Amino acid sequence: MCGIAGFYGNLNKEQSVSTLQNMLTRIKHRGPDQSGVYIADKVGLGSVRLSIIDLSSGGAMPISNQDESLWIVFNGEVYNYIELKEDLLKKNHKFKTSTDTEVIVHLYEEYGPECVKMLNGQFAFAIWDKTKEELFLARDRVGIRPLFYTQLDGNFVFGSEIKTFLEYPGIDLKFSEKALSEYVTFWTALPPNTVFEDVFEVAPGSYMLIQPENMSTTTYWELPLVKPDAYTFKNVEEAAMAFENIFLDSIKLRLRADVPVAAYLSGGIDSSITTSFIKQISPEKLRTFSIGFTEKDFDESSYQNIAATYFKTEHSSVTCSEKDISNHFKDVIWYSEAPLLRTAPTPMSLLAKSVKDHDIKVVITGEGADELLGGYNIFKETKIKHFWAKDPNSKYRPLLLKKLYPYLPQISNSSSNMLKMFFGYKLSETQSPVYSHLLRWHNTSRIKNYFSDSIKERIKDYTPIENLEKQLESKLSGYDYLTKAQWLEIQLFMSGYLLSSQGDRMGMANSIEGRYPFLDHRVIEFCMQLHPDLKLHGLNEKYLLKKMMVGRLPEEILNRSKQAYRAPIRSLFVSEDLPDYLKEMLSEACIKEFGVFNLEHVKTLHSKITSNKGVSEIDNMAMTAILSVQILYDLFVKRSIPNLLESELINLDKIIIE
Amino acid sequence: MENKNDIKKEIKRYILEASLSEVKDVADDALIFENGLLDSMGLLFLIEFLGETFKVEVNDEELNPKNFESINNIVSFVNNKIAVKV
Repeated sequence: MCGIAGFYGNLNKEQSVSTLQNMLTRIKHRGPDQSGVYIADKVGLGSVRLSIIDLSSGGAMPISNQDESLWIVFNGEVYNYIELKEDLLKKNHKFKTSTDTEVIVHLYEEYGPECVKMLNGQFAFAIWDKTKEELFLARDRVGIRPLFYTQLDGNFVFGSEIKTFLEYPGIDLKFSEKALSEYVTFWTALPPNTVFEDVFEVAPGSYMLIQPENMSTTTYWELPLVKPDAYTFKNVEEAAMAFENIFLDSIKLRLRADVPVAAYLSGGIDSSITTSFIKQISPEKLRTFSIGFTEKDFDESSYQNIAATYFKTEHSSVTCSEKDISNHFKDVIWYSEAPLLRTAPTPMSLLAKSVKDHDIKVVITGEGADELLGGYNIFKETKIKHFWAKDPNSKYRPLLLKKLYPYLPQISNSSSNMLKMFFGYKLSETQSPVYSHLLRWHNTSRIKNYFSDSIKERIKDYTPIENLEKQLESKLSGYDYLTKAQWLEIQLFMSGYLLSSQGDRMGMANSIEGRYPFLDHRVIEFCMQLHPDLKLHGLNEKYLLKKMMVGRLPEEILNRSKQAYRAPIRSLFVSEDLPDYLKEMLSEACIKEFGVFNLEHVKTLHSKITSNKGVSEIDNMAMTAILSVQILYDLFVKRSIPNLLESELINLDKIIIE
Repeated sequence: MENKNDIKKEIKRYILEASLSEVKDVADDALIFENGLLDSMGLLFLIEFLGETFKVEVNDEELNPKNFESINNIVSFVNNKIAVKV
């Protein structure tokens, strides 16, 4: 795993080396093992590397093809590089290293941009074509690895993290107010937006070609959707067998590494399945890691211990306290580079740190199973609401909703009239492509009320939900309720929040690479062809997985009710012993100076949470959002960060100057 | 006992504060939940507020849009409850 950065523009070569060195230093956490740059007249490419495949110095980046006309910097893993290399060897390609990086550059030489379709993995890379003077950037299908870009005076600048841009001369970051509005609605900006104006991501599943006079983006992969007449399996046993074949291969590929591979064990079904398959393939010793909470409501330690004992793994666990969350919050924002509505990234960062402390670089984790196999409550909620909308006056249909949120007493104790008030919002609009998420987004977007008057005025005509609804109208028409909801979860939430703020950014902050067997594109494509009842059977989530694993997981884990991964959020940010920095960010002076939020409203919220009276889920999200946006402003817009010192700069182990 | 105007003023003040809205944006007949001024949790807190301020208990059967959809509806609901009590 690595970090990359670079530019295509008019810098002199001397300036190019030091600029790249500074940009890479900002992301040295992504690759502490080795670094290098390639500089030519109009271009600079650089990488910091965490060595996982081919640990020799021969694997050092940048790497070229045989005649040195193509140069690559690469972040990620291509798991099927061995098979791809065999094919290229037959076509007379000559290799200098045993890295996956070199395979990509030869593949590009052979097949051009469309070679990305042959890659199975998680990646973001840049290739410079010296002859054509073209820069090629590509990102994996679902956006596991990040890649951002911006432009300044006709120069194109890119990097694995936005913080690299802080070191490019002349770039000043400022907030995109539209993106802020998207964040407090969807928990993410709509691709390719980021929270910063004129800074974009290379959207998941796309590549870009930057030529002297032209720049183009191509989508090479989209979540495949299947209409009801084309579902492939009707029978769960057959589907489970077919799934198992693909999934087993996905795990096998993800065990390829020249360093030990460990696994996360959350106590839920998904990571228990990945662990079970790992043990099936390599029964020897496996290290597993988990996180627990001092607050009982959120803690899953007992299930983690059951799983660790069952699989006989060498298990380590760390505990996260409320104090850990506030103490680490500034760092979490520095790495996530995005507004947060929940504090859940913090424990993921502590978990990654505990892995690093055990000298492990790679962990396999269960992300994606909920999205692909109907694990989330929002899918059940949608199913119930569709059923209820057929008879909106039914007294009994809404009662099904009580089953979904047993941990929220105000819902589980409600009468059907009450549930109507809770969940009845736009109940009959079942035709909307975003029906599943209308209520959630509508509620969350109330956080916009906290914006300052001037921001409110400027974004008053921007309605993210309606815009998205229009965009998706024809795209999602004719698909079943679950497919539509899955599309939103996978395309927006998974990539924009889960895999970034809770995934890549928290792992890489600690130089840890996550690997996601459920997100192998073959697994994704398979799951999207299934009848919804094979995923959500009645209200039984992840039905296919449960059927497949009968007798192969501890009963307690197989049959436990789904627990959403949530970190404590209640009133964490109002206590007296809050770190001084967080207090400062919420102070009258900072709220006024940054101008993003309405001072009076923030004060009202603060005192409401302090008195712990009438505090809702949205209030807590608002508090987290306000604090995270204040910190983002301070670090990235105001740049209250120390300049890089000479002594901090990375050593460039490989410098190639044309 | 508070008069009808005071009741309306109090309820309106509460809703403005809870929804962080401006007076001009909240008409007496605006649909509070439909327009997103308050969400479902907001309804619960509103009920708590009615209990504390006007000693009005809300039964399950009374929790319906007819009684709660706008400031006008809430005010007449509260007035009816108080009238019955007296």
